Amino acid sequence: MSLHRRELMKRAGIVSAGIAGANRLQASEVAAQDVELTVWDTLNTPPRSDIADSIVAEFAEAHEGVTAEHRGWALEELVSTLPRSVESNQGPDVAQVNNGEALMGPMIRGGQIISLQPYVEQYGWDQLFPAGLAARNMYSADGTVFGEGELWGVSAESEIVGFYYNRTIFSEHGLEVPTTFAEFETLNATLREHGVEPIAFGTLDKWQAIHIFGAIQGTYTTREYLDNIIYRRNDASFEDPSMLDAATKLVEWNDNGFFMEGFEGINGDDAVPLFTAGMSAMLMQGSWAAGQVGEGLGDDAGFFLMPPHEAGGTVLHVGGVGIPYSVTTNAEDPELAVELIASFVSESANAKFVEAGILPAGEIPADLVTEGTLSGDLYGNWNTALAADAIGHYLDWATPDFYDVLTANLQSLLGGQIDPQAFVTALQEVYAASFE
Amino acid sequence: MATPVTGAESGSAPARLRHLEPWLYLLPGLLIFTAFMAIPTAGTIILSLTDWNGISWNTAIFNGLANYQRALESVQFRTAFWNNLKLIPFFVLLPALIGLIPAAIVHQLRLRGGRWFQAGLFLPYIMPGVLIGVVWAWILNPIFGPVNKVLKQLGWASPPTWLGDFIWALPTVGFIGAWAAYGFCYVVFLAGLQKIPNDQYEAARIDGAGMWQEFTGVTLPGLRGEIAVVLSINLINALRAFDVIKTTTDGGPGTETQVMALYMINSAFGANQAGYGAAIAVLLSVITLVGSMLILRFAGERNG
Amino acid sequence: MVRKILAYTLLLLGAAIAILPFVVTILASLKTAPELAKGIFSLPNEAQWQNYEKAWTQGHFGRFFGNSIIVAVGVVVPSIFLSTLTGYAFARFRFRGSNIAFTYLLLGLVIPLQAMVVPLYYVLREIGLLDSLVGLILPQIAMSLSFGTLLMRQGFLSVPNDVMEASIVDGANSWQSLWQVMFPLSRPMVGTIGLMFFIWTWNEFMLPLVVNVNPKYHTLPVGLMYFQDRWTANIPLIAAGATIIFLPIIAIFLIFQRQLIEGITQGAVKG
Repeated sequence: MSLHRRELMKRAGIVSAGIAGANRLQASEVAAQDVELTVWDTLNTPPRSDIADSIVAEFAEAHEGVTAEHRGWALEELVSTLPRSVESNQGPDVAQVNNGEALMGPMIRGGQIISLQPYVEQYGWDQLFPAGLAARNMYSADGTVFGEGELWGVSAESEIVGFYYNRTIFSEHGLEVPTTFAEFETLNATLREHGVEPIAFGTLDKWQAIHIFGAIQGTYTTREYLDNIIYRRNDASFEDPSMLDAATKLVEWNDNGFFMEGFEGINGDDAVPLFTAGMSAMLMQGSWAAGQVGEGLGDDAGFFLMPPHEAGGTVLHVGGVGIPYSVTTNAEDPELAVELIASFVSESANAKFVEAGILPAGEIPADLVTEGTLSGDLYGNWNTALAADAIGHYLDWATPDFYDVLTANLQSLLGGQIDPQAFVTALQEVYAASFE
Repeated sequence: MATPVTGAESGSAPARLRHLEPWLYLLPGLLIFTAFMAIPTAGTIILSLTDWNGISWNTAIFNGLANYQRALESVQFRTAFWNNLKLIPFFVLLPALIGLIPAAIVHQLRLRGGRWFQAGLFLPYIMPGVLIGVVWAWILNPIFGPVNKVLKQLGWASPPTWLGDFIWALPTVGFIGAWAAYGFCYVVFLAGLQKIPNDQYEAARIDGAGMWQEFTGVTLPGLRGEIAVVLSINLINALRAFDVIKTTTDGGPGTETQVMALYMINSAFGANQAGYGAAIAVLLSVITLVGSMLILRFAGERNG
Repeated sequence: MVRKILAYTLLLLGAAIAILPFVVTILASLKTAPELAKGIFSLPNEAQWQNYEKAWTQGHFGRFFGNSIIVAVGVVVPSIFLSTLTGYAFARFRFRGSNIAFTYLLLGLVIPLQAMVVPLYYVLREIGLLDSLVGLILPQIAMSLSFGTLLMRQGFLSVPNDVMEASIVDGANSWQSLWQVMFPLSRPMVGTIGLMFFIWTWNEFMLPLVVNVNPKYHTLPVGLMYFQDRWTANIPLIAAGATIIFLPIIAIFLIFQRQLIEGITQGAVKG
């Protein structure tokens, strides 16, 4: 019996699941007759859609009488459709539920997803991420307090924002990957002097403004402060030296020409081909762009993270966990649905993500980190940041409507319409109002 | 008034039934309209009086007119409303003009190959809304777009970044909106022109009228009704403008191109405030209705 | 002569600006992503025709194409018929409640779909039309009616009075005079609204996503969703997909164009 189960789980890729109670096993096997499972997520384009398709197909194959269907959505569509479908009892069994107050909190309070806390030990989910990251999928049992209490979702992917660089351009100008913030500034200044565009990105479609600001802010801040802001604890305020320093530095960098000329008129996506065409020395982008960068530049591209002010110091990097998978209250057989989620973070699933150049949930095996390659740079930096619990936050999570507020004010700051102090004040006003 | 009164009819139907006659024509349309437009709209009005977050019904708590009060007091809504007003010349008048001039030229001069121009000029209207913004953002891209490349070659060292520029963003969005809308005006005008009897032009020509006199004397009066329709539809689209702005600037830079429809959608779906979003939608609809009724009244009813 | 040259120049310029974005789209659909950055009008090294094949399969266009046609026909034909009836009622008859009914129908023009789409979902759920093509068709007929009524009324109003009166003198009842005289005379308007209804329905992106959770019932524009994920958009595929979507509309326009331009000139001369 036990062997049979082990075999099943192995085939489903859940080797790391640990010891499971016999009760659960029986329940699952009895219910496993003719169950249809549906999974909705945002893995809607290759290679992600292929990975999710295969994980789900393998799961169904390994469970007799179970059919499973995967459906990839665009994020906005998923966010608006999911709660409505679950309320109408037409929702999927498993779905990606956007972190925090965007979706997870309201869905918990609406009784639309179930707590995964009872399964944490069984599947070893407390081992996947360091505390700082794990908290993002947590809420109190009543869904009112974000960032602590029970686990409500499990992320299959991770993401981190940093700087891709063109090795050829770097060596042509005698430059090396910076190890301190000051070195990074010198590097940018040198490139500008030599007539090379330093950092490419685009703020026309807004979101990268948050990333460049967050990257700089992460060098001035602490884990505690950032967690307080995002989890809305301890009267945290945007009127903080780290915010003001970062805003001042951002303006200074812009004035010094560290950003590609015309960045405010191009979309974030459009900056990637500019970088791979050799039109800039660096590209500020997330780990998710590695595939596209690799396609264009191969291993002539490298990746580094924002360096600290003092060698060896800590920086909190923009990034986090992918959108977590949760089990909805529409699930006919919740135990089975939980097991399906486990198969998204299994070793075999991790291997699939890594093979496609995507950061999986948790650490990447050392033998996959090859020096001097793009993926090696990316994986090495990720493992380091993960071990140091140095992955910060996306600042737009502070309140549900903060994305618009933050991006508009960053554009105004970069466009010289407001000064750093006015910027910080404007953010704090909205943040404070959200507590009323 | 072009409307024949019912009394002028042949009088075969009994008088009692006769006043039901128009309602028989209206009935099927009214039924389907009520089911799929009016009832959902009433639903939106009800939602606008609640605190609903759009996610779970247990948050749909009645809160009276609080959402309306909040909208009218909010800086964002006022900014958005003001930007909508600033876009009116671009979204209402400009496309009507760009649509009218070629339609009149083709018609009055009886140009050879007019059909091909007609096809070409209408094209923008068929482009899916989500694509328009994407394509124009490439064309105006300050780094690899053709517009700034040409301008630089002409000697303008650093032309604006257009959509990303605090001064230029709104006019640029306005221009793209006009590009997307004039094909509609053009077709309505073309259809209207076909009904102007040829002898009116001939009479004008015998009287020695030139191009311009023909235009002001025959074409414009003949199109009066169409102009009213086009202006009011354009006004409606100007106030509801969404697609083009969402896909080009998303309201930026800063809040330079933030408009009511964008604010409504970001509130309802982005910020989980469906009740508040519904209130903005109702306000937006009322403003639009008043505006378009005014245009129809002032420009429309005197034709024929 | 000078006038004509001037006119042609103006028209050519206008047509160039009108067509430019289409040229850009088609060029983009034949490039690789890195080639995009080299300049909008640069020709691709090698035309990437496989982008179309990829777009077709990845965007499930094969499955969605048939749905798009069924929905377009299902919306356009009934919408023209119903708009003709309502437009005629307001143009021909003066009756108590006419203003109120007209304003009521015009409300449809000012309510943005985004504003009422959520309640609409629940209406469709109550009558069991979720996940069906009918659920896509009926609301779009309702959405078309306001505009159709406005334009058809305008079209009927501008038919010269004597034509209308002549038909009445001939002893035709209102139904006969509508279909025998008024409708044929208003063919340009019919063509216009038909064309608009077709374009709107063909390009409608939001409604299919809300009404139909099951992708079996989606239409073409939804396919574009499969070319961008959370962070990145595959521009060449989007361009190829968009080209597949807009080519049929161009064909339809060329067909309707004859109706618009030639139809009535003959009709008016004879009438």
